[in-house]
Amino acid sequence: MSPEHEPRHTEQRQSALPPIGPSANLPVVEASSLAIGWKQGRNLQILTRNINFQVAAGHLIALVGPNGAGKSTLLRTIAGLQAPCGGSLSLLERDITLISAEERASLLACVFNERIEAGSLTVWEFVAFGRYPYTNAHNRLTDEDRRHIATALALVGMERFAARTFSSLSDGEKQKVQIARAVAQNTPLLMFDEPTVFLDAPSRIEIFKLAERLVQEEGKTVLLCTHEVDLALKTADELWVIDREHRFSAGAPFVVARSGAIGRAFDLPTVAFDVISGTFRAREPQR
Amino acid sequence: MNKNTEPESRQIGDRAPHKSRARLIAGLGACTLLLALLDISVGSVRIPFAEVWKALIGQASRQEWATIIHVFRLPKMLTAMLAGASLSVAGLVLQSIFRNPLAAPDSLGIGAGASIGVAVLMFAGGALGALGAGAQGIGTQGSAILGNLPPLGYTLLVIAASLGAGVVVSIILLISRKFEQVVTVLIMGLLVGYLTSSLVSLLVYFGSPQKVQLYLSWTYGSFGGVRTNELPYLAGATLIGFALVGSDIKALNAFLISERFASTIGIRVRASRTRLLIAASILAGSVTAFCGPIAFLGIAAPHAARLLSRSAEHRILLPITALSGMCFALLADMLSSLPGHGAVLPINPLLALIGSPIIISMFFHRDRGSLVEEME
Repeated sequence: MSPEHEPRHTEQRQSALPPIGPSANLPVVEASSLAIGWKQGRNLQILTRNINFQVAAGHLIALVGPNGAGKSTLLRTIAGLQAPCGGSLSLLERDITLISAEERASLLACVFNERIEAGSLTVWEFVAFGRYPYTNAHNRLTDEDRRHIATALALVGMERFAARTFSSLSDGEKQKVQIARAVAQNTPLLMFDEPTVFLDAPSRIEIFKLAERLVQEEGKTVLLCTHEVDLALKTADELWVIDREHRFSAGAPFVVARSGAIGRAFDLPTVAFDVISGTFRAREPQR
Repeated sequence: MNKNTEPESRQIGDRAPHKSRARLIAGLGACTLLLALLDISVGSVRIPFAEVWKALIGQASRQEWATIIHVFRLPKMLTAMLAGASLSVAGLVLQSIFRNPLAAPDSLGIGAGASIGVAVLMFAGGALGALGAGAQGIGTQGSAILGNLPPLGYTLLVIAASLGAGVVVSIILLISRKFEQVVTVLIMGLLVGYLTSSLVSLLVYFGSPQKVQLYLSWTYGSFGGVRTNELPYLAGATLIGFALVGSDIKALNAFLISERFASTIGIRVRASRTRLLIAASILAGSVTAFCGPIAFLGIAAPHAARLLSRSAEHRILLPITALSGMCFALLADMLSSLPGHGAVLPINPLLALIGSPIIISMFFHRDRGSLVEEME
């Protein structure tokens, strides 16, 4: 780690509370006229434009939309893994493109939907990855780091698995350990990319409940993208939809649902979103 | 399952295994020292063990024994240790960066890249006339490949080998950005290796017989060709490589998961990957320059280290890999010059001959171990 970042680390260590205190009234993430997509050389391929949102601390936001609409691209853009193609995007009122990788890792933690081959890595060691933004170059854990890891594991109910190898866990357990790793990173913002995709029905609900708990009890802001529209409607404080035409809309879940955005995003000739029940139903055959 | 119910999470977390791993490192260190002493004691001339010790501390009863120990065996032992550590760590770094257990300096064509650097220097470097003079030394002095090169010559050779290795690494790096599948990258690495070897063959074809002989004897691989005054160059390259790798331990751990993962926990992925690949080419390139293209160690020692430590933490893997590499290299070196036969056997086949059965048996041992764990 480069020396110019050392002061920040000591500062972080002095405060025992998560860094939401002073920044609680700042918007955690904010976008105005944001355009997302890919830059290939000089070619700009914009997927979705005119994205506007402002997320206050302590909210659960669910992002839904069909495959290819740009959900993951939006998440990756917020995570700083790809540059915005236009407009502005800021984390705690600071331009995302001006935040270094090290500092970004102390502001937001992401769990991506990827198969992890961790070999003989233990659950504890995996969660310890969350402390990387704070440990020294030799990766020596302090007692505070250990406390964060133990707390994060307890929060997701995986503390008894600390000595197990990560690869010996079930998909649901792996997901919880991944979330514990993100929690151990001690960031105001958490992002989960399709956290329920490999899971059975009870585990899916468990993950949503966990996200809810992180928001309500830990004061985190959680942004998760998901295909579980009905769970998202029930759990989220705010719903973001990117539809098939790559239009972005945001608002309170049932306001967005009533506006027809979910229907525009997902409806098929045979299946339609029913606003009243909040679920998808087969259409009556037309006669 | 009982061990998961321990209440102190910090204890089961990372402190308890630490002790046994410290013991493992200490044990391997002792093993390396023992092998080093044995290596210096055996050779075509029989020297009593007590006399070896006396010669080491400068009180040899016979001048010829002192000469054998200081001029031949000590540099050879140190070279074996440096080469063993360097190649193994280069292999560990490449396996972690490419997330592929088959990645190694030789399978990714880095050895071939270093070869072409050396070949170009030997065949095309007309300015280095002194190089040819070294050919006379071959055979009698355990192939003094570098002959009477001036200090600039050694530096040039190391630079040429590292540059050759670096060019191959850069090509592989570019390929790895274009293609996400690591298997593709590995195949491309093999192809780049073939390409490089064929270029070397063409250079050899048009070279003068004396230079061809010089080059061929270099390709057999030997720890005996490095002289005392050349050792600092090899040691320096090893130190630089180790320092670079040591400063990027966190990145190596995170790369094992994925580069995207590394990026989200604050690793500057491109900078770290570039530094690590430069380190791997310095390590593999310098050893290849001095000892010839030595295979096996780069791929085998990291696996031995993982099996021994059952760890994926590079802070632990790094010293264990280096020590395992040293042990293998010393064992092979000892066998190559055992008393009883006059000839000095080439290192490459010996390394695989003794190393492969050891590692295969370790895999079997590990599987039995994990089976027991599951049944508890």
